[in-house]
Amino acid sequence: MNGLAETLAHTLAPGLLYPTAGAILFALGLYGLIRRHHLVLRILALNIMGSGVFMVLLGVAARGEGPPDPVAQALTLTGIVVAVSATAFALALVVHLTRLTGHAVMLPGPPDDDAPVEDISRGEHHADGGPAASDEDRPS
Amino acid sequence: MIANTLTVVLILAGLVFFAAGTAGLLRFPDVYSRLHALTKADNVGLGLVVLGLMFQASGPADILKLLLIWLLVLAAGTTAAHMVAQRTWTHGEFESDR
Amino acid sequence: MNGLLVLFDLVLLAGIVGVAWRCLASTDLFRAVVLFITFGLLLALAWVRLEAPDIALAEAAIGAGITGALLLVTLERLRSIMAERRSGRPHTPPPDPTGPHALLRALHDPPPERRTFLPALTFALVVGGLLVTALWHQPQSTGLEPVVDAHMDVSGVDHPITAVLLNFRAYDTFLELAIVLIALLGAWSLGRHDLIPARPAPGPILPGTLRLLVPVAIVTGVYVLWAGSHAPGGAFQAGAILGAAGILLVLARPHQLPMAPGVPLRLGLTAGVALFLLVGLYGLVAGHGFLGYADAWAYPLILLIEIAATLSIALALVALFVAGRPAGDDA
Repeated sequence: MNGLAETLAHTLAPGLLYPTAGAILFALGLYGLIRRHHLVLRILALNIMGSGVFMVLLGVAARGEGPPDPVAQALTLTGIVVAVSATAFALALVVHLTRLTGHAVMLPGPPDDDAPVEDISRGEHHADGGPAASDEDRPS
Repeated sequence: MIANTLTVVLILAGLVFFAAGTAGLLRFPDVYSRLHALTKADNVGLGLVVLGLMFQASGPADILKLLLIWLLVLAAGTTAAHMVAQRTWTHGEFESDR
Repeated sequence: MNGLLVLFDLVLLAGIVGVAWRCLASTDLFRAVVLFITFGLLLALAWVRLEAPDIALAEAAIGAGITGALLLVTLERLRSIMAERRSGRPHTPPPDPTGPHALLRALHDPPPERRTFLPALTFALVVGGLLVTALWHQPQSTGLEPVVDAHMDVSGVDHPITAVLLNFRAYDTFLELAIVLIALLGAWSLGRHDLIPARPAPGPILPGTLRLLVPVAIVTGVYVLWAGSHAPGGAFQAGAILGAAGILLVLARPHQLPMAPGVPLRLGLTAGVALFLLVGLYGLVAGHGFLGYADAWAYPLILLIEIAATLSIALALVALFVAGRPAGDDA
């Protein structure tokens, strides 16, 4: 009975429970990344995978009786900032893709080569909308 | 000892209010009643939690900081609820969706 | 081993994994984003439980707050683009939908098809299983905490994470600031920003609340920046708080943002990376190695770099939210 309690205590310690949960989150994000089609959902799945990695890092850092490992925590902080920058850029790309093709869903199969794509080589274009409004329709 | 008991009791009372607010969010028929239940119950719940934590504070500065947290959440939550209600009102959603 | 703490851990982790699962399983994008914000807040609780208050601050501010705002504004932009394509009208301010359900169908993801279920599940289970096995068989080691502790007196600050970020591993932080700048340049290369998809709220409540909240946010941000040298805090959390205040101001503008001043904006955005580089080169020239500090100068240099980094991060986060080059620049 004592052996079981000890194994249980060892298994459910934060130093092992949280890395396991982080690995589960990573696998969950990976599954969502493969299965879902909408690009924003795929970005969310990538973020969840990243959060799983952070949970593994911080869980391993918190092992043992002493204070947690500050290097792993500093790396996780760096990771969070990099993740938000990458997410912001990825979302800007999704908006741009939607402006060009009209949808943000990537269905499996070969790309639709006959789909019309707007000619963006001339004229101004805007990051979050359609072709540039002329100055007269801009509201004051 | 008394401080710890008070903390636990007040935080549990706050959790009851949070649960009541969430029950209102899930069960009420339209946006306005849901907002009403959620905002009021959550504000009181947070107030009780903050009051319970004040007994664990290590000085008057910490007590004032906890009070400031509650006041800021009050302001932000009320504004958010007001804006959600205003947006729903301007779209003419009077009927319940249940 | 405290049984209640284990119970708390299990409930929290079950909640986190459950919210993540429901987020990825939803067919409506708005629901997925709201669940993702909830996921971020629950993660902040988990980081507190793992004795990482700095990371909890950063996760709540950056992971849940800023990422949530970015996702919601992207959904709004997608809605506007799809609505405009359907109507064929030239670009106008997003019209008020006749009801909340009309355009939400534009943000709907079809459920996945059957044939990818088994391969995806197998792949995810194999990867997850390998990770868990590797994690369970790691050798016990004390980590780098004793090493950091031994060098804290020459680091110039009292907080180990700030010491690691801005002294011992300053090169990583320098590259991280460069990554934020590169992401912004990438977003800027996609086009100009036009109208901000925010409708003004009539009435005095929103401007009044902003008049209250933005000064408090600025004071909090500056305090968190200064407190990072001896308590949880630092440049990134402070930059996120100030960035959130900036995003609030952007969202409350009635129609158009005023023209952003070109040169000061760019100076502010590059201040973090530039100052870091200058300090690093000075260290190289003075004989301490790239990004090395003389012992007596460590704290002032760290504070200087953190101030510049906070400014750059706050401006970069607001610029990433607006996601487009400022109007009035050359093409």
